[in-house]
Amino acid sequence: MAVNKNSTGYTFGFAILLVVVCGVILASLAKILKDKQQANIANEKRQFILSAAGYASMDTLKTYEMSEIEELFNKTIQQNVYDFNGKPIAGVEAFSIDIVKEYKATKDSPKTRKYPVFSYKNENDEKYIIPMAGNGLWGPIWGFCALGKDKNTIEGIVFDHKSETPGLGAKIAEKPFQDLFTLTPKMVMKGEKYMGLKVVKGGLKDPDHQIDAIAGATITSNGVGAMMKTAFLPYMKAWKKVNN
Amino acid sequence: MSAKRESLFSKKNMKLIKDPLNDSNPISIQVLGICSALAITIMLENAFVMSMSVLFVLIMANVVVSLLRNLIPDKIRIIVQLVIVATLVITVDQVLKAYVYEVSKQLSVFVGLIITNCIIMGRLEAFALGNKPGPSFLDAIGNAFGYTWILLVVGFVREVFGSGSIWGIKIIPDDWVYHINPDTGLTEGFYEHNGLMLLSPIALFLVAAVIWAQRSKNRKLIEEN
Repeated sequence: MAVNKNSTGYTFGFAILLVVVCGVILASLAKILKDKQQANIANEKRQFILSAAGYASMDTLKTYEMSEIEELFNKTIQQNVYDFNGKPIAGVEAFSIDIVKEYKATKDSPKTRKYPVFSYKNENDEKYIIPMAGNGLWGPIWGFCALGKDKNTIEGIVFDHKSETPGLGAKIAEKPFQDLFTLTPKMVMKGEKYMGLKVVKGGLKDPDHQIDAIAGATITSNGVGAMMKTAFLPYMKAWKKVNN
Repeated sequence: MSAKRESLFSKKNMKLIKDPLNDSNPISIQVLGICSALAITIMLENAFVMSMSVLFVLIMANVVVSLLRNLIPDKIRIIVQLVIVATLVITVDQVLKAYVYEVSKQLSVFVGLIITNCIIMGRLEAFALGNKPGPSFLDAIGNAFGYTWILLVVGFVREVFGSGSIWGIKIIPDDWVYHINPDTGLTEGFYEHNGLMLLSPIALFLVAAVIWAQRSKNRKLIEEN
């Protein structure tokens, strides 16, 4: 065999062939597994919404079958979509809006953004679950926040993230941080004034509207605060109109 | 070509499996792949899935690289190894996302980081490039299981003392653990989980304990000075 293994041509040829083969393998794999992965993601989204609504804890919901979650979700949760001025948009399913993509696409123009809301009602209680998205340190973060009957007090919250640092920023997806939002009542409005919620370091001065930040994860914590500040406004507008 | 073809399970080849389990263990002796051993051993299940992922990647990479060993151009061999490992790792990641979504979320970035696991590149470079596929296969199994048993030991200890469970099944009843009874407002229970077990640094102590035990058993392993 007279092939020179170290010739430039051979090296290039080998590299190209290897990359093409690997590429084909990965592309077909992604195609085959896509449906299953998306079903997992949709299932998790339903679990997040149900858990924020206080239907059951995330741990309990995880023991349910995927079909049970879907049935439960369709039975108990109503969906609406609003525009920035609080007008309902017809013909769009709230669940199908990928909130991270929607926020990213309308980054510079929040007025054209679609704002989905999920409501959960039973005999003696009602909750409004608001999805939100923002940026952490390494990638997108998102969450679902449930407001109580007064449309002001936070009654449940779930956060998740794509690639925050495990042990630091990733703590926003864990229970201890999320519990801070409900241990003492947190309000979105201060009287008539819209506040959102702030994530602060070094002690809470206004405990009704502030959350203690995660040590060592300043940027992720700020991201949560920024996300919460922008998230509620359109809904507040929408509800104000309905109430008047 | 008169020499008899060597059996795959000859004494020499079995050594390839046995040695990495003990006397040349990738974690406790060579101290490779420590990062993931610290990060994903909070629960036994995570440690197991991680180990199986490494097992798969290492076996496949070792065999593939060994098959290609006479074709790979020397100048780009590291990159070729990386591409092969990366392809395998992405495969694992995608499969985990489709079939064990929960676990894949907990392993998060660490599955992707298998690419940088020194054990894998180490074995490819040190063994697969110079040996036939059969021995490379055995070498991969030996090293992957050497990695696995340490992870499982560390994961077991951390889960039992940190969360009071084994493979997610509670072995220490919640009643025993300190808690406030909502009816009476009194503190009940007499046991507390060790929070340190949930933090990564404890894995260092546990790995160190394994290293200690191993070296007191086999004094040959103790380095001079």
